[in-house]
Amino acid sequence: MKIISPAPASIFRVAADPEWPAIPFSVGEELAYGQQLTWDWQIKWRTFSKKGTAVTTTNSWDAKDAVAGLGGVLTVSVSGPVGKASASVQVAGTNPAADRILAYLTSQPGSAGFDKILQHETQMTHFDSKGQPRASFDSGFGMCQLTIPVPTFEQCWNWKRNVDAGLALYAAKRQAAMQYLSQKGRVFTGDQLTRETVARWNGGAYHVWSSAQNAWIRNPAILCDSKTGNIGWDMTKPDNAGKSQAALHLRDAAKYRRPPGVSGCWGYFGICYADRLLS
Amino acid sequence: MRIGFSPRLLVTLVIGAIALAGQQPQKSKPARGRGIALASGGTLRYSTERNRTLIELRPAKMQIRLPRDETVASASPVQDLEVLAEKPTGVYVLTDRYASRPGPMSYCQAGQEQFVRVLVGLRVRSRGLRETFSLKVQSCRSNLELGPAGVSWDDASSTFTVDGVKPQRYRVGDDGVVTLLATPY
Repeated sequence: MKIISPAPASIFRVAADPEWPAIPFSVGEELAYGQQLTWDWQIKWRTFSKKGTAVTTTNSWDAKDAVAGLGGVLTVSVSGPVGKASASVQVAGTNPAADRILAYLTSQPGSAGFDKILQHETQMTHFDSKGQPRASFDSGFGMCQLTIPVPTFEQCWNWKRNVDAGLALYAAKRQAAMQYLSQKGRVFTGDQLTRETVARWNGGAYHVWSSAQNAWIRNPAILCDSKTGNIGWDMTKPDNAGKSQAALHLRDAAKYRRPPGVSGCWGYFGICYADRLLS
Repeated sequence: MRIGFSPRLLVTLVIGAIALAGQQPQKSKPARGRGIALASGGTLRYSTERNRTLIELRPAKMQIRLPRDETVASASPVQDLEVLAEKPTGVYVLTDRYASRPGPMSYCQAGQEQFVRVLVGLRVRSRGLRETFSLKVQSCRSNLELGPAGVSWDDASSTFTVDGVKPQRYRVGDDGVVTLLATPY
């Protein structure tokens, strides 16, 4: 028996929707009435894998439903009354356009600001040039670079499920931001909530309460280095007080390559991260 | 005079240097880090040893290596350590803070992780310190928020209060045993 299609090592592309393509396998031999073919399949990518079995009474089988949501190398072994055969193909991804991602985010409640994080961190790309989910050095996969909780196989390959998982982390920060801003019955704007959430994503609060203004204001103690992503200075520290951003940058920029030390006058601030992304 | 370069010689030298380094005797590192003057006299010194926090009381030379957890950045130095209280029975209440372990997409890169601990000095036998209580009170990675009052100590009632979404009060016994007070704060 021989698998006549698809050709060995064929590449099937997942559409950007994401919509999984038809992956039809067929053998050259025709089956007689009552005969069956058993299709054992396995799809593998990195440490992820899934396998299963399908039975047909015809000489073809479409793997589309079996591998929906997944990608990598798909190996199919078929066996029947006239013998055995196997073939392997690849399932690769296609990056969605930014407007498609934005439309999806808009449809998800509480996502305001998350698009800025995605744009800043991964340029809203889910797949690399070979159609494989992008991977970071610490095994973070996909558009949201999911590491912990460890992503599922589908969250690596289906960008919508990947974004859902990232949004779950973001939602926890948004909840904390709402709790913080609404304490003692205080009111806040949508923009303040977004800034508070994005700051907390990176670490720390954005606003402090001003009794004089009877409103939430950006924490005035933090001055950001506008040439960086989230580096800034606590201006209440004696070594920083009264100095300009330019002077502080000149003093500290050479040390930015390493994480800030305990006694260092500069540091990472969620406020600066939010300012950078939302300005 | 030009000196010829031999890759084989370079490899030999590097291997030799590695071998020699491996034969160096393990020297005990001098206690480094920062110190806090204790009310009772003496000093509490703290430093980072790999992923643990080394606490040492001087001049008694009592030591303990406090564990952190997976939310703390690997080998993070102690960002801050405060002795909240010191009981005459050799019980120390302290709070220690670290940088969060950064996640993907700058998640918690600027975050902090903070604990409250209770330590008891073992004066009789080992002259060591024992941790009788540990509580995570602030965590970017675990979405645990500490309120503006932070962790506060009340000497009269021998209690500390953790200001969070639901502030909670704990009593510290003379023996270092900690009890969560059931009464809603």
